[in-house]
Amino acid sequence: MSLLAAAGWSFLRMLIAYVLSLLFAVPYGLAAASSKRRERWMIPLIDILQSVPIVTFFPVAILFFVKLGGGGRIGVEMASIFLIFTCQVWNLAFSVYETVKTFPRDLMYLADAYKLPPLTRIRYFYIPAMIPGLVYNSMMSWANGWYFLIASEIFSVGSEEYKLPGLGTEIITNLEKGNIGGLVLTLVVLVSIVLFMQMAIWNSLRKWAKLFEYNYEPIDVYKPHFVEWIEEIAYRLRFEQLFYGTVYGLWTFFRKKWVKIIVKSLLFAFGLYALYGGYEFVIWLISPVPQGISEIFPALGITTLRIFVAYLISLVLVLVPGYWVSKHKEESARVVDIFITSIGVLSSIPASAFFPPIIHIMVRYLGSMEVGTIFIYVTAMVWYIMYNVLLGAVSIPMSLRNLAQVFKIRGGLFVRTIFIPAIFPSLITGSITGWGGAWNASVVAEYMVFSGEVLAVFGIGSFLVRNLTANPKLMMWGAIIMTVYVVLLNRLVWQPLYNLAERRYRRGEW
Amino acid sequence: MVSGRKSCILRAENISKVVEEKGKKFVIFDSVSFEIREGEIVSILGPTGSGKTSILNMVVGLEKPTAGEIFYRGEPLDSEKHIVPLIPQQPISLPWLTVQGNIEVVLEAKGIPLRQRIRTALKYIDLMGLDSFEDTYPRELTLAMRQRLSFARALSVEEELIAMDDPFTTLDSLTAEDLREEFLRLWLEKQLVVKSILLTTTNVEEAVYFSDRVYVLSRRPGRLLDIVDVNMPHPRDKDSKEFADIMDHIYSVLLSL
Repeated sequence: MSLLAAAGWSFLRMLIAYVLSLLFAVPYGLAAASSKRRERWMIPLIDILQSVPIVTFFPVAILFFVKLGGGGRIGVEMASIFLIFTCQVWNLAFSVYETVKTFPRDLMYLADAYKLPPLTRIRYFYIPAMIPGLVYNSMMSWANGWYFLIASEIFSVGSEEYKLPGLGTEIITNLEKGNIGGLVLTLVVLVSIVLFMQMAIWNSLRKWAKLFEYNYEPIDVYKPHFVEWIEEIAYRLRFEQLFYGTVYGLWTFFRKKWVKIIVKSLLFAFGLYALYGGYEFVIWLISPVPQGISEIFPALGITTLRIFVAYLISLVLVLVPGYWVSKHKEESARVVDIFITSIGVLSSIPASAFFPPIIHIMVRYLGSMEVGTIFIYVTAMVWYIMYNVLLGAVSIPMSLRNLAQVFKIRGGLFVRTIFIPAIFPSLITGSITGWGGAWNASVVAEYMVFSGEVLAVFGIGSFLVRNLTANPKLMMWGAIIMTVYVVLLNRLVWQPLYNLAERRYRRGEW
Repeated sequence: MVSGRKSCILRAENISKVVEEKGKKFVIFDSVSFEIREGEIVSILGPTGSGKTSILNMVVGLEKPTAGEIFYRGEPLDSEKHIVPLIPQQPISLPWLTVQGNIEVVLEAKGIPLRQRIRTALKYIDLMGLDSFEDTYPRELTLAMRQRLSFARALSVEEELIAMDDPFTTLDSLTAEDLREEFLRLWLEKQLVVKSILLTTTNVEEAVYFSDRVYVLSRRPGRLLDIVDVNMPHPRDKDSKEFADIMDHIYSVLLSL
């Protein structure tokens, strides 16, 4: 019974965090995409925030939200929802931004020709265009939220520890006690919820979202029942008029000159406050600089190495089904559907929930948990890559497959000249998200507690978790250096590859 | 009707295509027979929906007939073994390979060694008027140039038969006329290794202008209405009485249903 209550609590938190994420992501993405000046700081900002490991948000959650709630349940709940929010929001915001940035030019000309005002454009052009990206990213956000639930419902900094009733706490408590039965039961409940959502919601939404893709390929136009119900209810309650009325009211309000001045000065004041806070934070960081910073660099190195090995394993796991899909057009659409359902479910299971018992045994007999850690990294990254690559492979146009068949382009030649180039853009997109997932997972992959015993390997993840209680200041240094490193890696390695993919292997004109 | 001695490259015997969709059966075309002999240009002429593309897909090995059979040089057509290069209606190319790369890849698939690949690719690039575009990517080319690339690629594998799926409709009429003239000139001057051509078209004039023989198909389901031999020497004068008579005949066959 308490397990079902825990499930209910967790679900409720996830739902609230998700709604907040959407409410944040859509305006944020729109704002970032609609002005070069805003784009320059808004995009790097979420790029950084998405690279920050979840434990870095613990102090914020505690210092701000728990204190805001006076240390009571409400405050802790808010902190937890905030932590889940940090797992869900960034990819949604990126998705909105990308949709607006890559919005088809000919449709834009249409909007220009009819001189449509900005709000009309958002309502009838941008929001529908966002749907395919938002559906996919919502699925990923929920999966990510479940994956990190174990770090969102139970968190601590220094000597302060907070926990809330929920599935994440259930998992951790069972792990600490070494209660395998309870652990399995909790996972069954979690997987059931995830499976239900995948089948009932995401799969039908994915089918529906095809309607909003900008092409005229024939599809079975499909609308899930629950979307119809929501529309019906919204219609009865005059929700649409109310919503757009409010938005329109706010829009005109915030465009008034005096309001603009007030908003700007508020933003300025907030900026000053943030600057002051930042100053205090820096002073706290450097006075005195904690011992042990030099440990961060080898830790980052070894974690990079582990993620790289996990990446190679993931590539093998992904390219084989990807190749199969690219060769079998007829059956592949159905198989890909099954695959994606499984991906949605599998990526939601916190690997760190079922790995500790295995690793516990591994340590006893192998004397090392290295292999186990690498496999947790695989579970954190492989699904993103697989999802993207499978969709890339299934959407290799019929005309190219026919070309290969007519001219008997097969085997290695097919892989080299058609398969790899055709999936390259999706492979890069998947790899970027996959690596991001792996960095975030470092805190659960390298450090865990099972049956009262700490299982850890040297690396940046275990460094952060260990110092979360032992030395929060050192933890902060670790988190900052790691974030800088990850952002640099993105800029220097992935961004150029992404640009190459966009330039040479872009979809569209085949 | 059949030009005696020359040997037959491809023969289709009573081929049909039936597809099933949501429990209903649709006949795309029904018991169509045709043959292509060495040295011939043969066209399959019919309105949209007569199953022309489907027939061509069977010839190049992308589809299989529901009934009937296709023979290549007397043996059943085997899509794993026989190569019949296709020039599709819309130009298709690998966007990440250059013009030359796009041709070399099909030569590599045929197992031709590197140096010969380059030589052959350049030869056909030249023949199709793509010289100086070797290193250009398809997306930088106009539609007409991309269609020329399709021609060059199909011709470069130097098989005895190529299939063209209405390759001129995608171009504007002036450009199409240029490409038609140029291709016919290469064909008549015997600069090409290819021996025979199977062409589908919706354009009566084009069929009569090119072909030695025209197979006329009806609207869906496609059935063979008539086989028209065109025994005029090339280049054919479109304003001649003979040309007009043949066209009139074909129109009357098409409109008789």
